[in-house]
Amino acid sequence: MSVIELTDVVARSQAVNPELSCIVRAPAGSGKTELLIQRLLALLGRVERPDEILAITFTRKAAAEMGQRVLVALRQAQESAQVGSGDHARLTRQLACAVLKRDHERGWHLLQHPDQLQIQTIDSFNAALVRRMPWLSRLGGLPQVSEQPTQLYRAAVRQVVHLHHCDSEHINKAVRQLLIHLDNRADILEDMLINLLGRRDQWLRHLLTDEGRQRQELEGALSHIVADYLRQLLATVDPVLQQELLVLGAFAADNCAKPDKALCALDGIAAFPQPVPADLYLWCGFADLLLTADGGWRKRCDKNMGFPAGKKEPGATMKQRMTQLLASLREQGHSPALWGAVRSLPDPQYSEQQWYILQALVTLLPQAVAQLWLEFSRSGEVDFSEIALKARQALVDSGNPTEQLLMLDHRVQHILIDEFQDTSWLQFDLLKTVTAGWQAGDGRSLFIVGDPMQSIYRFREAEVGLFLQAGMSGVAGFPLQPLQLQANFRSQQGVVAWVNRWFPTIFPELEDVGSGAVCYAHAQSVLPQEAGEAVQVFAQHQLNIEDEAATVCTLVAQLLCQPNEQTIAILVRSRPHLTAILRALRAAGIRYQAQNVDPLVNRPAVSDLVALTRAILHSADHLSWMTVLRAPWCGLCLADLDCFRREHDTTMVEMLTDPERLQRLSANGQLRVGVVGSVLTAAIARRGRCSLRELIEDTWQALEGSECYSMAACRDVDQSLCLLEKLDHGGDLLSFEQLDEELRVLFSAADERADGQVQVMTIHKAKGLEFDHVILPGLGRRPRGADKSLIRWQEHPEYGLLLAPIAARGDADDDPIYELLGQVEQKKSAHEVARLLYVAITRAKRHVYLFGHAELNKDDEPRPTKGSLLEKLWPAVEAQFIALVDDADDVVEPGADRASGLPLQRLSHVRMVELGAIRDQADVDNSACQEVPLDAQIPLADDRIAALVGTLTHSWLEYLALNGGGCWSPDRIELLREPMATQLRMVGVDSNQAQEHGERIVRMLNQTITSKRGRWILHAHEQARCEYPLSGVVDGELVNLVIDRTFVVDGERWIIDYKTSAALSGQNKADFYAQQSERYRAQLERYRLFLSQIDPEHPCRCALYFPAFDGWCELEDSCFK
Amino acid sequence: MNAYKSIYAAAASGAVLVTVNRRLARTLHDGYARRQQSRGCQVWEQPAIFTLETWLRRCLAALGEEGRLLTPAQSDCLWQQMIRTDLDKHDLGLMQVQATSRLAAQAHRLVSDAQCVGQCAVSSPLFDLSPEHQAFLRWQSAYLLYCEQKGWLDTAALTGHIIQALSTGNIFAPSKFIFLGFDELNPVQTCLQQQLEALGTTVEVVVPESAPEVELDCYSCRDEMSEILAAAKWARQQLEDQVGTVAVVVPDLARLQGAVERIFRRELQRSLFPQRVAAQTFNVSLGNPLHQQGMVATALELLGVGYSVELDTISYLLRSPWLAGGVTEAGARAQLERWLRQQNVREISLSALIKLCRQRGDSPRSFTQLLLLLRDARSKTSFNSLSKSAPRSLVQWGDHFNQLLQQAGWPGERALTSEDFQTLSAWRDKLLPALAELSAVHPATDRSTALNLLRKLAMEQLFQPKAQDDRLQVTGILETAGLHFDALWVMGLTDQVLPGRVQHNPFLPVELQRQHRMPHSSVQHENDFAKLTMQRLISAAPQVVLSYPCRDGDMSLRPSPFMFAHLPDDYTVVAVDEDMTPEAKLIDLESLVDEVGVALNPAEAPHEVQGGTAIIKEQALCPFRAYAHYRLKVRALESPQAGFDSRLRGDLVHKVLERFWSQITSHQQLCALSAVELEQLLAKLTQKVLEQVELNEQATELLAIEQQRLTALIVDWLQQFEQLRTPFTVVAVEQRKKITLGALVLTAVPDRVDCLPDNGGQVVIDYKSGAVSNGDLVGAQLLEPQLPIYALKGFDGGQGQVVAVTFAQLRVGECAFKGVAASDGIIAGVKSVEKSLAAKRDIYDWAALLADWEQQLERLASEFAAGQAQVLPVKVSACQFCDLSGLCRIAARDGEE
Ligand code: SF4
Repeated sequence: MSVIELTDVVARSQAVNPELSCIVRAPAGSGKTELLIQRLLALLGRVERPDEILAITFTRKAAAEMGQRVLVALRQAQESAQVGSGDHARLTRQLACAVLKRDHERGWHLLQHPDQLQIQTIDSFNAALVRRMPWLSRLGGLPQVSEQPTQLYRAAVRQVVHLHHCDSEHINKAVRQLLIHLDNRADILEDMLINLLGRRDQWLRHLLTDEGRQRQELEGALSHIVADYLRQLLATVDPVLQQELLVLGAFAADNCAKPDKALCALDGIAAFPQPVPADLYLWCGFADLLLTADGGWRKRCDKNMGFPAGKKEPGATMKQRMTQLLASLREQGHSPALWGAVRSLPDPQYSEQQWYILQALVTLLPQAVAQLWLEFSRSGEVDFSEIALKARQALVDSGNPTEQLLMLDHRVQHILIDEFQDTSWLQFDLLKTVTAGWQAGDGRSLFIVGDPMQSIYRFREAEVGLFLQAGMSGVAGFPLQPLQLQANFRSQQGVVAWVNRWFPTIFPELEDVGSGAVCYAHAQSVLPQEAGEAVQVFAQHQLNIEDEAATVCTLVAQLLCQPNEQTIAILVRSRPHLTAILRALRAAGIRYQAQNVDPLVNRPAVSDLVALTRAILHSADHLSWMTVLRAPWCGLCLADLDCFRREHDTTMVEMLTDPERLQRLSANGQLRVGVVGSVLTAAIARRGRCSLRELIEDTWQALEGSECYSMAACRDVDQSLCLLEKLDHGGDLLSFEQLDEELRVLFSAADERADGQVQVMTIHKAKGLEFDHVILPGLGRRPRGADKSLIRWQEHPEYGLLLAPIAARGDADDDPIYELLGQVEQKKSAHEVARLLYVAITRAKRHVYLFGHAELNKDDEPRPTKGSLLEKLWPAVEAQFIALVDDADDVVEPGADRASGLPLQRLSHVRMVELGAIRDQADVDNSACQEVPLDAQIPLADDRIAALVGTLTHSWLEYLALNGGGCWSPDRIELLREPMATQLRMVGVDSNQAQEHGERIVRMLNQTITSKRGRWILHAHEQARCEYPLSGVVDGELVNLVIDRTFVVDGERWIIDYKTSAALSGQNKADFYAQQSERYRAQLERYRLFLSQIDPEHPCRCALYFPAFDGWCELEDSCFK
Repeated sequence: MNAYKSIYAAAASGAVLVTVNRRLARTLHDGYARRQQSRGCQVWEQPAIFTLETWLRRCLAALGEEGRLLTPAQSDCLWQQMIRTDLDKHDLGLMQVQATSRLAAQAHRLVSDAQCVGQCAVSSPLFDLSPEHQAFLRWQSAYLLYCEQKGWLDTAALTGHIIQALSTGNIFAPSKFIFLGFDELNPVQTCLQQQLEALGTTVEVVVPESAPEVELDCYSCRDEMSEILAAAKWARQQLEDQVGTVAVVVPDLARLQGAVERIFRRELQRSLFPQRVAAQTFNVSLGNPLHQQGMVATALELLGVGYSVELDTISYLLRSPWLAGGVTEAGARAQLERWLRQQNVREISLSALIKLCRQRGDSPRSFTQLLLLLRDARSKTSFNSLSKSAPRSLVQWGDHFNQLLQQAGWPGERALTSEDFQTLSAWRDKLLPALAELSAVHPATDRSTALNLLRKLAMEQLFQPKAQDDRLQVTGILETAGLHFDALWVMGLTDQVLPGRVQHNPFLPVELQRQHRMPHSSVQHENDFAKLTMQRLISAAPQVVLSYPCRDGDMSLRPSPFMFAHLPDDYTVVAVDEDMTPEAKLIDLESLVDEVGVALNPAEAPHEVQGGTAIIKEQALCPFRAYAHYRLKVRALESPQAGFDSRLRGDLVHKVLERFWSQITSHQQLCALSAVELEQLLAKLTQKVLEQVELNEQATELLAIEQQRLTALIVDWLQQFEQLRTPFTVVAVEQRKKITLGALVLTAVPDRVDCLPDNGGQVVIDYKSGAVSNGDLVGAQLLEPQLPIYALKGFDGGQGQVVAVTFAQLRVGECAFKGVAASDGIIAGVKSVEKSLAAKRDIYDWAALLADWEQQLERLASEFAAGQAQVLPVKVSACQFCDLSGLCRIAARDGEE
């Protein structure tokens, strides 16, 4: 390889200079990551603590990889292994050595504790902030982040969309207004609000900044936008032209026969209109003068537009001048669209209706947010936005963010941000907050890197304009040196040349912050040219998905045959474009890795599992039951299914256990239902006794589910089971709808066994990756448009907030202000489409294959679909589409080619017979299964309290015995009254009762210490023990017991058990004693047995002592066997 | 086991042994018992082995002060109250008060622990206090003040209190005292040690000593799941080889518990030596929160029923087997659930629900009784009928809950298994007493607060059913402290786990935490701790396996650097790769064509069928769909929607127009009405119609808006479309008629028939509130058969031929006539046959069109009668709004099965 002089050497070295704060544009393949690592190392070599540096990446994966690479660099430097040659490697090594030295000096142990490196995503950074500010963030600690926040949004919205808000008639009024506006479609209002809640990070600050933003301010921003358009137009109209227009306009208006034409506004006009909304009607007048109704230049002038026929002067001259003017406008390439746009510009004032609706929204949205907060609190879960919002708010609320960060031990001195082109406003604000008070030259540094040409995350509210703005004026006054990288180390020269050739025209000519227009930056190719066309085009006139899929598939197969295991990526703009291709790949047996592209919900194995779940949990879900009977593990034929036709009052469970009905089945049907039925009834009996996943998984296994599906399908089933685990509510489901909803956003897991040579993903996911070959199918297709939002908003970098509510449902025209914002949006998204294309194509190291279709128009010219990627690419590929000879144009409608229905797939008859036999055996085995019938008595509160009183009495008797034994006086006992009540309350007795029962205990204690026998029991006799714990072996079992009181007196060992019970009123004492000793005989016998082994010397005597009435009952030896 | 020999000897000689956790204490007790038995003892005194916590409590009891001690739950509750009071005072919100209280209590504990060694004050001038710290100080002082007033003692203060009591001689120090399983003693524990020593106690801190010969292996696994499986296989092997006690340590056990339990159980069940491998009694040490038990979940759901209930809750209770009638009445209850869905019940008040259940004749009686019970319970505990209940103590609420459950027949009719019984006892003996205990610190409160507290307790109360089999233990990393095994596998050892993260308590100044070397306060601390932990793990068994996962999703993970210190330098990590998905069993399925169901018996023709013209429509859309819907009569359960659903809206339009055209019977009459009169008339009619429909509570609210909307829509329709037509008279409105189509007899109800003057013929009109397409009427596939049926079959009361059929599409903003006519100009916008799409199929006049229709209809009718049921949607979009995709398995087309 010949050494190539890099054109961006200076920029690269500046970027690594830790003293320089800069913003680096790093196009595809420019070695951005290496640069980041070097910068990070350079900084690490000079900071006090590693956590003074904060590096922010776009994904967790990128963060992990960056950390990994830093560690590898350090480890390599440590092992003094010289890896790789070249300036890059040398520099990296040099920097790493410096870091090691620093590490050693400061005792960081970076290699053991890489956590000190603050390499984070925005989300994890926010989370760290919230964790450190439970109070200021108002979150009270880091909450769980819900993967399915929609459930929470829905719950919140349901609390808002109704008309019985108490004490807040204004909210009811707002809801009512919006409902009327939306044709009383509460469901639509709910959906729109749910959608808005999910994006509240984008609008919330606008609505909450001050109560109902001033109308003038909003309208002011709108006028700015309108004025902007007009200024743009005015710039194309030179003074000469202005003069001519004035003269002709005034004349035409004067002569116009129809007074209601826009043209007539020009009547008597003396001065050319200003680019202000107030003059909008004049601009429209000129537009009318120049353009036809459908927006083209006028071809003729006639009396309808103020130029009467005839030679009468000044009419004739005027007419001629007009004709000339139109001709020259055409020739000089003036844009009729620019003039035409004037017509759709709105009057920058809200109509009363609009304003009402806006007010209603401004009332309602904060309400919804407040409700959402309650939902968060209730569930303990939040969404990512909430953490981001609260993290920043906390910093702001602290009054001095930098101080606050310091206090949190966040001594951020240096910040590195990757992928800055996809920053959102909220993130930008956070950055501004974190760097508040930074000044150039104060030793802190900011390093921002990204590629505005690769900004493709508008749907996550990325604003590429922020990158451009930061390039021009820094971040909140902190200046940044713009640097541009040019070298491309990734793609072969052919690809680079192709991109250099076409993208300057595909991208806009001028950069514009407001509309996010980014220009193309020329790349320098480093790698040599490879053989063959770098970029190949596969053109179609008619969209034929199956054909395209087949071609893609063949191409992949061919590429796989090439040597050196080259990687291939199939990239699409949106997932549905992949359906046919994945099917074709599977059919061709090509293994691929695909993440998040294959929706689970439609997989037959998954829908069978869902049906099984629902059937077991809901006996009247007849459809699910039928599905279970029709699934491959049973495979009942239509005729047999007829026997289970839904009846009003019989569930399937009942049908399945009705022998008479089963008799009506075919023999085969009887076999199948017999085998499956027993499994299902067993499952129903198990409901609620195990986790839902266990219940369903076991049943699925018992039905031989794994025999019925492929490996891949079994993996899908496993994923669905994980979902069941997540939704488990006491072994059941709380909401079937939630199961469906969550299933909808799940995708087949990647085939772990595929080696990754072929990868399938969306272009968005491919960001940051590279492949030898990149295949781009479906370029001619357009993704499904997004639903309309209840409100549109735009934050203009200069003019501030633009806001417009949706038009009333059923109104023929859209609201012009709403449309205006739509146009701003559309412009932005048109720019992004170009960037998407850039990202896709620059993933390729060697070759790119473009697939697309462009239908023929009336004149038989191929034209790409509006809004498609192909439309952007058109200049580069048009020739191939024109050259394409049309193939047979009888297009087959998808689906229509399948003349016959589907075959029924099921376990074979032989297998069913086998299973039947196995199951019968199992039933016999299980019939012995033991269920302990129990009398489920929930005791009332009294029992609990009696037990508590018992325990307390015991422990106080112990206390008495240990502290002074028999010499307690009633006065001292009296002092226990209060603590006793407190203690009772602490163990859960209500105050009123605690008093009463405390009294009782005190009485018992009193009884004991005042009685002779009581004192005797408590006396510190020989070998006295309280609560004496013993263990022993009885019949081979280990037994633990605790003896209340034992001692030796006169050569006899006493064993005493306290009982707090007393004789029932009317019961005679003797009976009571007899009953009690019978009851506790066995227990005492065991005590006796144990103690006689511990202390064989003394004979034992056992007794029960009743402190309640100083009762005493000795169990005579004769009681014991 | 030899490792504990000296310990047991000390225990036998009366030493006090305190352990770091309960597990160790239990293990030592068991071991001691075995030792005694093996020495031939029949009976012995239990040794003094306790957790440190328990020992301290016993000391407190010996002081007679046990009643002062707050349980952790009680002090947590108290912290929360302090925080809430503070929030109220500042008029602020806080999302997770409980999480905050935990952090605050932890901070409090850290400070108290540190304080016994020396000064440890948050409010020292040394520190800048952030709002977090200030908040903490406010809460702490309020908390301490409260405790002092009440004479309470919390666990944070317990050790200090006991040290104090020891020093004053109020309790006696034991002669020998041994700390077991403590990696290191924290300040207050050290203090205790010193105090005891000062009193002449021999104190020993037993540290793990490494076994002389450790057989150490290190595995790297593909990902977490495959690591669990590898460990499970290994464990099974060890058990089969009968090596003794086997342990698997899972650092993040709380998160992985479910997966571990599942994978281990399945693996153990595979063993051919069931007596050695006790798969049935296998349990992870953690246990599951009580609220996950079905029985408890039902109880909480039932108690949670408020003034109004959501369908989800009703559904759950209707399907629950844990209530009276839940088994015997299961079928009827499920049917009721289905019916409620049809009624679009999304949320409903109890009394409305009771009314609804009574209205529906065959509702299960015991369920209605249950509802009544709930309603009465509610009203009894309330001040008045409002939802706010009168405050009561938590003890009372506990009793109330129990009573209610008992009346509801909880826990159901099924015989209880032993596990059920254990759950029930956990509820009775642990959960409700825990609630009652809170009563000591919690003021009387309303029902929902009480219930929330109960719920929280149920989430924290871990429930572990069967007895453990000690041969295999799966535990977290801390629970193994001080334990010894014969074989040990430690998994998940990535560098995210060891070293731990530096993580400061947010309520204490960072500097303070560093100064006092509080846990997780510095890298140095983590480093020491990681080394200690590693050392401890490795010395816990003679045979140790360390492992880590290589990937987590698409992220690669790194092994813990602390592992390698114990491995030889040239050690190569063994890569293991276990796959979770079972090997495909490769059994061939049988495949057969089954697309004809049971035919209607030709001998019994004609057949009267239910479903009207929709049958034909569905037969045209997809034969299977018609068969499933109209022969098998299955439909999916419905999901209630917000507001007025589309079916109801369509219905309302029909009803209003029916009334209108019964009253205004001609174009002339229509035109004679002034705009005001028209509007008034319609306002009246819509109101009448709306008065009669059955609405759920949510829709009722929207009634006024709906009336306004409906009136406006219809007025608009009449003015913009009907008035502009040429004169007509209405001859039939919603007239039912039986018609014969092939072998079928169907009921048809044309919405309206107009008669044109001068024998101009008749126009059949069908109202649609959805969008319709003309192509479905006159295209190659007849997908809207009802109008053709009316056109062909005529109706009563009119004369003359049908000359036009048309849909009246009544949608706001999209109103239109869409149809086809014999000639132009009959209705504006309805084209003649020759100008319609039919012309594309070479059908140019009315008669030909009728013939074509007739032929298509006959075919569809006979297909239906023959039980034709191919899964053959006429177009892809047909499946979009079809509920049967699971049953017909249309998706099987798109991929391999
Ligand atoms: S989902 Fe499609 S194929 Fe299946 S029954 Fe419905 S319409 Fe027919």
